[in-house]
Amino acid sequence: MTAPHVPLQALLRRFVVWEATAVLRHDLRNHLAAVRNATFYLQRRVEALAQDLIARDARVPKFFELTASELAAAEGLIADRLPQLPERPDRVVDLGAVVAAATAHVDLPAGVVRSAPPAMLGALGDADEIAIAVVCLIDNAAEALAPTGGTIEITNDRDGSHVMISVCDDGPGMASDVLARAFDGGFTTKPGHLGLGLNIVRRIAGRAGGTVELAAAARGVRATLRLRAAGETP
Amino acid sequence: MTRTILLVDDSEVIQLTLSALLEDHGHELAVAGSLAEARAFGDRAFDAALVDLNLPDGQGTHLLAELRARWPETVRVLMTGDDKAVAPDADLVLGKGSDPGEIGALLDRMIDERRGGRGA
Repeated sequence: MTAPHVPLQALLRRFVVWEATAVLRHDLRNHLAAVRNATFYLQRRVEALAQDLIARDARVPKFFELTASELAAAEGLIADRLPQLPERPDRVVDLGAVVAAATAHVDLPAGVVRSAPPAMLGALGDADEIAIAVVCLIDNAAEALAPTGGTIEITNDRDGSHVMISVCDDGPGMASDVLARAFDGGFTTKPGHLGLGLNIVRRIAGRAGGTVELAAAARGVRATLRLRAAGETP
Repeated sequence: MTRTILLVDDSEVIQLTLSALLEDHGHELAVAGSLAEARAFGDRAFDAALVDLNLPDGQGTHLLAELRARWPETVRVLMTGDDKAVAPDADLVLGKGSDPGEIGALLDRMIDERRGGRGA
């Protein structure tokens, strides 16, 4: 089984850039799609209802073509020039080592303690990326507890063909509308934060064929990273 | 026969422009800006659903799973600006950069194919 082997801080910085770019790419595509749709609609209307305008002014059809080609060029720039995450092959990942590396990386605020390390389980994915996801989840829990102190409980479990890492804090919790928007790119309730941590977790989970969910716990919030299990429990 | 399309996107400009294109193509549109608004259509079945990935109250993939379970005949399309989006409950993942002149015809082909008995 593999364990994280690159400095997590460097990889986390790269993920922040990739994720910020992905949010930018998504938003730009939304704007461009609206312009492209509107232009296409206008072009069809003009062609159907204003043939005389097209006959009198050759610039009209030419500018429709120009708008379409410029939009396509902009889409090409977004697709080809903005940095994208490199593909990573699946490996069998030692979740115990991943959690150990992640917890060693995070400086917990004063008054915040972490529960005993979880049992070892094997997952499919990339050890470095899964460690980054766990770092983000622990960071998120630690920030929720920073004002008051509290406990972060990290557990893992196996459920058929999946393994789960859960990070649960006993802090003040999140309102339901905040929980619903927690994975929106750039959404944060914390001044000075980019609001990308949970997006990064979701992207990593997706790349590993897994999911991440947030739910209200008895106290605080439980984040569960669900990944494909690797063979038998070691 | 007019095809009914459920369009779910929180962007008003996407709602406005995509509705115009699809209505111009001959489709009848029902528009929602969130999962909750989409679910409020209740028992109404649609020929196709165009659902954005990121919605204010959750992921469009959740709605696709619900549609698949309740109305397996409805063609399910996920719209996204994310190259790497994965949606096992979608019949198609459609990039936001797709050709606007093709979307109406594409939906018609998929609806015809589904009605031809391919199933969910």
